[in-house]
Order: sequence, then C-alpha cells, then structure tokens
Amino acid sequence: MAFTFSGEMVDLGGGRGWLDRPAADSVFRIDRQLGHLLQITDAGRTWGQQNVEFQTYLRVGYPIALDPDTPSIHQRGAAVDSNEAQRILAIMADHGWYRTVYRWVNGVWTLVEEWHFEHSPERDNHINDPAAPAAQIPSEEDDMLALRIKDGAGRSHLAALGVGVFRHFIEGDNPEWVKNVIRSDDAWVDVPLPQLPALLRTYGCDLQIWDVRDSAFVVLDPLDNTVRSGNMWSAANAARAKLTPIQVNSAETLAYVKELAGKA
Amino acid sequence: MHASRIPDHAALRSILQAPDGPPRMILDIGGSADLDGDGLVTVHLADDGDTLIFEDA
Repeated sequence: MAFTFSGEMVDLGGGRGWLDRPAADSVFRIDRQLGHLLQITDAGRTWGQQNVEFQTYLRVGYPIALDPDTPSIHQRGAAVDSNEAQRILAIMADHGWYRTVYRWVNGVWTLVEEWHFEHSPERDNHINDPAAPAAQIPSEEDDMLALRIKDGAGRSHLAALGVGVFRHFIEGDNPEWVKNVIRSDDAWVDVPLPQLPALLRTYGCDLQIWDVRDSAFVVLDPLDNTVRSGNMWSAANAARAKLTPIQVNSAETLAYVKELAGKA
Repeated sequence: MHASRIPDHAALRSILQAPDGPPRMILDIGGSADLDGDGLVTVHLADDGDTLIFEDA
C-alpha cells in the first residue's frame, strides 16, 4: 500500500525543501549554531520522487534507495542529503543526525553514502531547545537587496541587487512597490556609494557597470550598450551580448524579416 | 530474509553500539536474500542493546 505522509511539511527555506516538524526544527537549530543555512541537497520526498530514486537504484544499483512503499526516511521527512554536514559530523550527531547506509564491500561493512543523514529525536541533545524563529530564516523573496545608494552630494539612488543582477530604479518603476515585493521586511538598505563595489562583487556583478553622471545614477545595459538611468545589468545578458548573432543567409528568411520590419 | 545470510553480525553490533554509532543501519546486501528482492534490509539493536533486529526494507 502506498505510503502517505501524515506529518507537517515544514519549508526549510533557501530552496532546501521540506521536513517533518521535529527534523525541520533541528535543522533550524543547526542553522543558528552555524550562523548560516546548512547546505542541503535533498530533504523530504513524495512517494513519486522516492519511486524515481528506487527505480534508478534497481536499474543501476546506485545510489541506494528504499522502496517507496517501505517507505524511505526521506518520505517521512526525517532525512537530508548534505555535503556540508559531512564536515560537521560532531555537530550533526549532537543534534541527532546520523549516517545509516552501509554496503558489504570486500568483506567489510562500509559506509557508502556519506551524504545521507537521518534524524533520531531520541538522540537529539537539543530536542527541547526552541527552534530559531522562522523570521530568522531568509525566505526566497529576500534573495534580492533593495538598495538606497547615497552619493557624495547626499542624493539617494534606488536600486535592486541580486545574484548577477543590478537594476536601477527610476520614478516610473514605482520603486517603493517593487521594494515591498522583493523584500519581506519592506525595507531599503542604506549603502554609502564607496561600499557599492564590494556589494556588487559579493553578488557576482561586474564593477564597471554604473556611474554618476550629471547628478544621475546610470547603469550599463550590456544588451544594447546604453548607459542610462533605469537600466538593468545582468550577468546573463552580459554573456548573451558576447554571443555571435545568427547570420541570416536564407533569401526566404531575409524576405520574411523585411516583411515584418515593414509591418512594424 | 534470512539473518544468517547477512555477514559479520559482530561488526554490525560494534557499529551500532559505538558511542557515535547510528541508531539503525540500512544494509545493501546486494542480492536476493531479503523478501522483496531489492537487496536492502535494516538492522537495529533490540532493547537489550545486544540482539540484532533485521527487517526487510
């Protein structure tokens, strides 16, 4: 009979998936102890997701995955796969997380899935500690910063900064509304202009993509090479701009392009 | 599943009884010694802390 999860699916935040409440609270306590979100590759699984893993195991013998009708601890929301956890085994054990998957290799029982950890509440030394409040876990909507950049003349310039994305706002963008959409705290981050390069570098943006010209903040758009207020620079567009455009050689295509240009 | 066909019970017991040992193990026994034929069983210690309890997984 197909297993149906009946616990509480708790979002771990940061795109890490879900776990049952006791295991999720343990991960939140580990996050707090580490000072950052524990890296997690895989957490809770549905029956269908586990079946995909199981069929792969039956076909190629690796990685080891239990029958979804057993079920797997992943389906019970009490297992994670993590690379980072392998480097903090003492902390994981203190919080009741243990590696469990062994194979008989050359006459020895050998741990073969170093990344697979299962939570045992009865071994969790912090099971009665409060979990970190949910507000301390950055949500996905906080992946971008809303910046209020202060230049040397005391003027403020509004922008959004994400991984590989830097967007300057002009009044017509309704920046207050956009800020409230991308930030759960609905707050601007004040950034002195000299600090901007360090932030851009941290978020994977090029440095020479902005300027202050005639009191206006301007940004480079790599697609059309314009430098003006309200532009967006992104690493993806910078890469696209370097790609060689397709050269149209077909007479039929050229005629079609001309026809479209004529309608424009 | 025949527990007698699972090798080295002493090693399993040693892993499970270690202070930093897991509370249970998933064993890939690599054959059809288990009931459903996927080669996977679990093992944990009984309440006496010494007897191995094998279950088909």
